[in-house]
Amino acid sequence: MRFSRDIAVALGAVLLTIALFETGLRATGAKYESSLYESDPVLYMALRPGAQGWQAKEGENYVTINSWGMRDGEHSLAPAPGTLRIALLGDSMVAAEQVPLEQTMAKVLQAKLQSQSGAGTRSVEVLNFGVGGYTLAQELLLLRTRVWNFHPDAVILFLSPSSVPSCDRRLYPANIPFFLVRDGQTIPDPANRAPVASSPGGRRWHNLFGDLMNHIRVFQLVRKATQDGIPREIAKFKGSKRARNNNIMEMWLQPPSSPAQENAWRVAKGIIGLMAQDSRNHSAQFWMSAIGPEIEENPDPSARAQFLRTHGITDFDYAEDRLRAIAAADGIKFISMESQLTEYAERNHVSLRGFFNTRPNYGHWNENGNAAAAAIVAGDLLQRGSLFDAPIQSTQSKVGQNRGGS
Amino acid sequence: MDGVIGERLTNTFRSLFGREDIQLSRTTTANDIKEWDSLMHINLIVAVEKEFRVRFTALEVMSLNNVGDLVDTIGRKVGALKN
Amino acid sequence: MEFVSIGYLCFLAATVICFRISPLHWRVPLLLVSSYAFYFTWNVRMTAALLLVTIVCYFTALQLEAVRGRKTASTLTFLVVSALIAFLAFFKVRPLLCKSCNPLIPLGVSYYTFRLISYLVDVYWGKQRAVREFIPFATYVAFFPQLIAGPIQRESSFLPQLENNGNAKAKILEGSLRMAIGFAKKCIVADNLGLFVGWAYGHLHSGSSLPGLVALYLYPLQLYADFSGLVDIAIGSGQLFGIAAPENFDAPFSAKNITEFWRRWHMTLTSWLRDYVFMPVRMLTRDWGEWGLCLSLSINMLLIALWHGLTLGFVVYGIFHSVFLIVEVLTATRRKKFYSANPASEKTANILGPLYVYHVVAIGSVFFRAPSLGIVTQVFSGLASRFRHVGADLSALVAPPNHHAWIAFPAYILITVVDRYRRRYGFQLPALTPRYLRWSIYGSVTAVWILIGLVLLGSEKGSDPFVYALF
Repeated sequence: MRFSRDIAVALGAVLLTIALFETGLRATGAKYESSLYESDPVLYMALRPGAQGWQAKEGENYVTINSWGMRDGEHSLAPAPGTLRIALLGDSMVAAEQVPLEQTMAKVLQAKLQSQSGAGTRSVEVLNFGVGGYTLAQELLLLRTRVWNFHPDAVILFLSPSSVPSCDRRLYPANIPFFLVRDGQTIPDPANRAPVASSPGGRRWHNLFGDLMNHIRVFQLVRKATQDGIPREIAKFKGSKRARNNNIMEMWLQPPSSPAQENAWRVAKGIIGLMAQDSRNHSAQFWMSAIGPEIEENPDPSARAQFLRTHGITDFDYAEDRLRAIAAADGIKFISMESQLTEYAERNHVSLRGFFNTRPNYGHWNENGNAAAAAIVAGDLLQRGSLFDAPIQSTQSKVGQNRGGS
Repeated sequence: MDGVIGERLTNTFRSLFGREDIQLSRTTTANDIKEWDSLMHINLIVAVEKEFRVRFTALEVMSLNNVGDLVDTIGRKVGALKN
Repeated sequence: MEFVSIGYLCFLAATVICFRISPLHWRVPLLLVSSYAFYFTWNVRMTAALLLVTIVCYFTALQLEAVRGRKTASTLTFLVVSALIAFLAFFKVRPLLCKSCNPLIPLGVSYYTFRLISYLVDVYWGKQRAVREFIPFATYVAFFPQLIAGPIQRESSFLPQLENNGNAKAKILEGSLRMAIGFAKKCIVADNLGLFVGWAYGHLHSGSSLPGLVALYLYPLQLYADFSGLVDIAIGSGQLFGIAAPENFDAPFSAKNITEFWRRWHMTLTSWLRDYVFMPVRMLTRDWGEWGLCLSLSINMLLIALWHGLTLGFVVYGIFHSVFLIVEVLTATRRKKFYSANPASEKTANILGPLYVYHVVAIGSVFFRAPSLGIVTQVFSGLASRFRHVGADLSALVAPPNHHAWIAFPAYILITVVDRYRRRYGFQLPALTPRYLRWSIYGSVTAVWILIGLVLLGSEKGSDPFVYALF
């Protein structure tokens, strides 16, 4: 009897210690990655509705995922009458988890368009469908399965340097959906493995655990230590360096140099084409833009020149130019983001990337970057978009179109 | 502490440290007297040299472990002076 | 490897486990091998240098004992000790002369050179018998917990502990708690204070007096937390093997005057210099009365300062402290007479003393911390500026990434309380502790260490480099 009592007291002491440690972690402001994702049968990976937690790798920001699995405020499925809806597709640059919601490109864009809506009575809603880590294939699937439920009038796709390489399995080994181009058709790759999704019951447990973890620092710590720390220390001990995916930078700056890279471009073009077609079927405008790597937005011209010299190239524009050509060939409006961003950064001597806990000009857009990007997009939309000229379609007719269409 | 040297030494200690109650034995060391730190140690050596009219070398001083050693060293030097 | 790293924790754990399970006569050799392995992971060539220097001194000591009393003894001692000093000086001077060379001083050189010099001089003076067994001797020289930042233990207190082949009761609980305190001092107090001080030194031109104030008043705390945390880890590591080490700090900021401060701060260095520099020099200058005393004190203090680095800043630091030491020593008897006549004033002096000490130490530390004398003037002239813009500066001070650094202050208070408890009672569990309490404590301590390990694994950059590991 005494034995079990002693064990129980000891365990209680240990739990108390862990609780105190948890308090200590909070007091010292230690923050680790949160669990914001869940597995999905179609998308393989999606943002988990209702998840919330700290992002502290670049800046410090508390992220909330809405009930639809978007890094956005709540939106109703059906737009209020007379509302102009614009959907943004993209990866972590669009999701912008590093900055508060009001400072994301999506919300700043919404504010700018709202204030310039001219006609005065139309309200503007920008829906942020950006998901960190998404590839073009996942963005296409997202468009098809979720975006049209919100009846956007326009869709803007933001590509980033990983968008094209992630179209080929050889360049981007991961368990995600891939597409192929066969006989001029872009189709899902038959070799796609099923996602790691488990039964709905299993998913529920995983999500519950994820939510629990988001509130308990010690759990986050355990995950960070085991997922990141142990491999890092083992690699350090062995002396090996973590392999970096060089394809991403290479493909942004230079023409394809391997069959895999050529295939990636083919598939990317195919997926973009599918998205454009889908938009036409839903009577929505389709726009495209390309976001480059950090060095392109460095406000210091000598740093950029140094980079170009080291890599033996004359400019950063290969991929952007090629994407612009793809857009033109399919009648898609293209927003030239990077040159405008670079010029903005240099002119105002401001860093568009980097946070207090990172190197300068590193990582994702900070508050300045998001604002600058929003200004550029707003400018292009207003100038070339004729968004506000379109007749206000009633939701009913739009819904009817969706049902009848694809 | 007895002996001519011992008595004169005790008096030297007492006047140096300003305490009449100091008692010395052969095994007394710096740990036994509160004010006897490194600064005082050198002052003590200087006082002993004056009192007995002898001169210590650095090596001799560093090799002293207790008052007994000090008495013996003084005795040697005084004896050498006499002869 | 750094003390505050998962690598060190794993290394230490592995060594302690091997130590406990080995047969007695393997234990000291195991300590030696692990110390050299520790050194080896840092630098192969310096490991060879360490071995060479150890061997030379081993034979020198034996020879000294053989020729005791003869003239050759002093010559031999003089030669080898000078060589050791030159060896140390070479590494201290190299960063000054050769800008492109590695600016870091090889790990532990200051510490093991001092251990060797004190050993040889003690043998020469007859205070220590030359050690006949090489393995314990080499362990004394290279004992890894004391290589990073001391304490500088004497052979007379270290060697006897190896005599029963390390069968001393290992103080696992005490050692691990001591180490945990050291980690907390380093990571929670010193690193966070360092954020504030770093901010201050980066904003000396802001126009308000805040950076100067922060730089002046917070740096001594940071330095103390950093260094004493280091020493806690060193001493705690040694206790895991049952080896006791001398303390290096004894509540230094409670000192009532500078003389007392130096008896409570970096005690093993000051006592080493007292025994091997101050005493011989004072002996030489004993006929010069008070001038001799002042000279000896100055040389001693200057060496303490220069041990940290051969820059003008450290020289000024040494001279600055020497002035106070000399004034205090010269007025000691007068002050004592005054206090015995006016007991109330002694009470006041006891209260004001620590304030006086803190200010002297803080001003001196500016010379220690500032990278150049120009920066020193900026700090002090900043103090003179009025309290304009303090508000704006205050918000800048606590803005990210410093927004959590305030935790250093409550943590410092908590740690001071724990430290005081340790000094008074130690961390031993009384023999009659009930089992549930014992198991609770063991369980909690184990949990704390697992969590610390997780934090180390989970942090990208680890902790800031120790200020004192650079010496």
